[in-house]
Amino acid sequence: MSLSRRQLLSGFAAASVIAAAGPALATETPRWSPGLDNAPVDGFAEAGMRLLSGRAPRALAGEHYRNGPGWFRYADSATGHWFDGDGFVQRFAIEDGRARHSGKFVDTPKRRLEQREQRIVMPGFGTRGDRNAAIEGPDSMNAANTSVMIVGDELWALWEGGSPTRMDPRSLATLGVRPLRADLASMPFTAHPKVEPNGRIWNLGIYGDRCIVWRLSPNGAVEDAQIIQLPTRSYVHDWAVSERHLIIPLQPWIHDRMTAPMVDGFTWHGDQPFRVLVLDKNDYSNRRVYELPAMFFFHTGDAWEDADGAIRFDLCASANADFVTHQARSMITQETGQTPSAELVLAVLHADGRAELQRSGRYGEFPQTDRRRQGRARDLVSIVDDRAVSRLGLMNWRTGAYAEHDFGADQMVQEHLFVTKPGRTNERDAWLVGVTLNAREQATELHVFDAAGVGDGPIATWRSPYRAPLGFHSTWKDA
Amino acid sequence: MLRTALIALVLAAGCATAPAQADETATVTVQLTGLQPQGSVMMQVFNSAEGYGSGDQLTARQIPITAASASVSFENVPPGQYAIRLFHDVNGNGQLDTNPFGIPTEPFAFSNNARGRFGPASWEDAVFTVTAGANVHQITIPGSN
Ligand SMILES: [Fe+2]
Repeated sequence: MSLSRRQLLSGFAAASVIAAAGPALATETPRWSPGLDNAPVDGFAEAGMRLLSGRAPRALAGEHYRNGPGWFRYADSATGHWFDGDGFVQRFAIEDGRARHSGKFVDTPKRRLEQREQRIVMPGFGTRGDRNAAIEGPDSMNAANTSVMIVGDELWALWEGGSPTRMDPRSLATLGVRPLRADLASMPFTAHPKVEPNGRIWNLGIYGDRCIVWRLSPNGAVEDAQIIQLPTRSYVHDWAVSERHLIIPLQPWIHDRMTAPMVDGFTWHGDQPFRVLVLDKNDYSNRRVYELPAMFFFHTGDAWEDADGAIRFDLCASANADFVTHQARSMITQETGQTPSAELVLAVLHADGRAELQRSGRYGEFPQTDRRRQGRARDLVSIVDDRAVSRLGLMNWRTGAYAEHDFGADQMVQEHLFVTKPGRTNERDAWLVGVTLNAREQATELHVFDAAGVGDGPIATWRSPYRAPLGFHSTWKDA
Repeated sequence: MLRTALIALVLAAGCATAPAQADETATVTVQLTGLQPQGSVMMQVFNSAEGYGSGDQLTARQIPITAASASVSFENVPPGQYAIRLFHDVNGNGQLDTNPFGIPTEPFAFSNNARGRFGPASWEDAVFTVTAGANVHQITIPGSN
């Protein structure tokens, strides 16, 4: 690591620095509002996107699948939180230099019921729902709206409180919820599974201060599932896996009251540390807990371990939980407010038990890394920044270099994924493929960057004749 | 997104049978629909809020299920206030199966088709009135998760 010492902070100083350094910029108009309209009830039939600029490399062929909330309101009722909209899955297929787009709602029991009754019925993360809602279990409330992953021949729409919803990746037809194993029906399965380069799938499911650790084969069969005790309750949205360890960050945002909506039952405990539980992949009883200063996060990049035993993983960290408790609600009511900021940091867990944060001074969210290198040493992580203007950034932790592209104030930039160039192995031999919502043009755009030249702007951009909802997470499938 | 700790429904698996207390004034036929044709339904009947809360049942039945619907009759029932809770023991192991976090993996239901929000339906939502003569009460079994 050759970052300057100035950037290498540790201990409680880091918490106050993050709190002070996050430039929370007030916005005049809610830039996100076009992305929080209901998508068309029948979705978008597959159609070509218009090439706006550049030229897509011939070798780039595959599908970018994307999930996110796409339905927020009926005539007389609305969801109470961005996180509660019905899952809307989009498919961007790139082949022979052309791009095609389609989108469909995940046909969940929740959506079927609410469409039938034309009102919000089910409670959610930030939605009260009808007190007489017929809740058979978590999957009654499953919005299937957070992420997508390809497993075997299926596309799974993920929602952290319940089961994956299986879909057909070509037609986006919903195949339904089928338990991963009969005795494990209705168990939580986070929206951030980790896939080893060999295809093995790891995931968690959090329930109070307990957690299921899932280990699945590449085709989705349960190889192992164990319940472990966590050292504390916490909101665990994302986590990390290195070659030898499972890394579970436990931030001090704790669900300690049963109340509706659920988000109101969380308390920010800024006086408590940010703990990190590290488990040996081969023996979960072999564990260790590290402590970092209090901070809030949604997303990790990925983890790796050095020869000296230190574990490193990227996080997008903010000073507190204000975004999730306040702003993600006011987004639904289209109120203006402060735009959130999270700083890209690298958590370093030393073999001697010390933990520290290496800061980047770069702000953004939705960190993405080269999935070929899952759990392995790497230099790069991409983030997107949606404060006053929208930027895609690519951080190099080894050199400290940061490349960025400015999409301007009219665009909302979303997660950009690493796509490997065929037959190449260098980390920079990749494209970054992602979506923006162009508010001025009321259109969804698909962009391809060369990871070696992010600052040069997209090498190809396509535009749809309509706008699709903002989303959370994507996955890429090579053709 | 997340719903940790949302549901921990606990239904006592009462399957002992007890004779209905008779004063020969009412019959109650409970009709069940929406069943998978296998296993048994385990049904408990309560006649007070206290009994409902503590699991102290008035009577209970085990009803073998061979079709999508089934019915069971209680004779000589004194008119009054009653509530029913039941689960469908689909695999016939005599208990309401749950996943490791205590969430039922077999269907369960209450009279009035009442649903609990984060637990069993309340007495207030499940209570129904039995009057002298013939009474029919219909319960639809929700699909299992
Ligand atoms: Fe996420």
